[in-house]
Amino acid sequence: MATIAACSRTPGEGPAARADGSVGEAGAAEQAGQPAAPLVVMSATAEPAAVAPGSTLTLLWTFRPAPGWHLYGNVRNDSGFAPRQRLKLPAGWEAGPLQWPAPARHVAAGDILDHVYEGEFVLLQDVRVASDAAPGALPLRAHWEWLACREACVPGQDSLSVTVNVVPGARSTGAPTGRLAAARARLPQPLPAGLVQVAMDGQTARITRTDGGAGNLVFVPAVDCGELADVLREGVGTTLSLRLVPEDGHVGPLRGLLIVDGTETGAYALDVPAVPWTGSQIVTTPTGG
Amino acid sequence: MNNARRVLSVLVLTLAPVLAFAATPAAKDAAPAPAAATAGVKPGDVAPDFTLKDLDGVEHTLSKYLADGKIVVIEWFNPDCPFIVKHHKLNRTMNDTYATLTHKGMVWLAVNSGAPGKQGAGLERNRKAYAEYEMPFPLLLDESGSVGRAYGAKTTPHMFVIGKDGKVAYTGAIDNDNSPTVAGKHNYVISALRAVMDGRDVPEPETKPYGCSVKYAN
Repeated sequence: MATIAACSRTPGEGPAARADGSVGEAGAAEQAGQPAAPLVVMSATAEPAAVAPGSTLTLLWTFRPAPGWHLYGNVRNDSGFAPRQRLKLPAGWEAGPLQWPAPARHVAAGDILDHVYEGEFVLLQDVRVASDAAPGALPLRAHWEWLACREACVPGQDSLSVTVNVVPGARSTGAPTGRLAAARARLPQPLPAGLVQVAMDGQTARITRTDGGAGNLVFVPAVDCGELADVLREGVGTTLSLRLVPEDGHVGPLRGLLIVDGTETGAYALDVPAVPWTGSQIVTTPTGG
Repeated sequence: MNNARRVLSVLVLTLAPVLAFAATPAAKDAAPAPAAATAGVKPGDVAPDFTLKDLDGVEHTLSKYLADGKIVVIEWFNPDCPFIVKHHKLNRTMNDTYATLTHKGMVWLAVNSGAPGKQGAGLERNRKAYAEYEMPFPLLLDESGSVGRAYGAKTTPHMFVIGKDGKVAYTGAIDNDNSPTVAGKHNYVISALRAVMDGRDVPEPETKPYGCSVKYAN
């Protein structure tokens, strides 16, 4: 077998994990004389099972937060931080960026807006095998750290190793497994034609559905989205009017995810380029009809 | 016409997020668009005045410190947040920053806006942490969260530097490393304080704060 889940693990939780009796399941289990259940369980697999030198495989990094706990998406959040990875690869191997499913909006008292994962989620990562990789089994190692929060926050970390099998001449067996297909299906997709219209009206981006659907739209700003005046209040609705804050002579870009509710909820990548802003395009309230 | 509204209509045309621009007449009404976020304070804003009690019941009033010619640093605090542990226990970032510049007329106020019953709230828990962290500056309780909300404090820590003129000179992170253990190499608050003390513009008046969410009352 070329794919082995999560071996040589060194999981741990941060120094504050025991400082607070309210951390929940872990603390309760410990008091009962049992080992504390980890707040987050990670595992890792690779597909396909056998890869040829010079070809590409996909790593599946799976996170399972304990019930009630959440981890943070790799988008603009008021608090927390998204899981971070240090991946060690042999010389000549190349890792692609982590691919994240759409997180859910999470609003806490005090107008604190985060986007989080509750329940299991999978990050995908393509890795190109070195063209001169030697045949045989090879472990790929990664260290992860994250912040899990319910009300309290507890940092955690884990080291995982995934063994991949380099086989010269190996060919992809075609369709990915159900796990990989399911994880890919949860990634944000390109915006399909006819779903929404995005109009820049002065400083305001107006997003309206053009597919006849009536469900809510949710805008999730990317880390590098242009500054928004009030995405907490303006980021959800059947139509969205998102005010952008001018910076250095432009507004935008409006970059992030658009989550569209309907018979089937979908998440789409949105990237509207920055628009020059001279300050002369003043949006005024019309007087009279 | 300078004031003519121009509407750029961005239509999503294809499967890829390829966007086309086309000018169309303005038709919809629109409210004036303020250029700042609605909640909290930004650099240049007048810092909201407040009076809060410390762990000994002594009142601290911002405007009194300003009247005395002080520069005021406010740190949002929750003793059980891992990022507070990072800066008060694993590293001595806050105590060291205070010690570096307090002799130049700076006052540091830690504020806990956690609501009763929430993580890290309450007199007893904060007294214990205050001793454990050997905090050399007052720790104020804001259980109603009114001061935290007025400032728009989101995280623990979330730092504010207020100049002698009573205006916000800096808001954001303490430093440039948002890991829960490693202190950053660049301390934004020290940079801001030095600039304010020297009468210079703060080089980075606003950064993104990092940490746990403030545990406000629901």
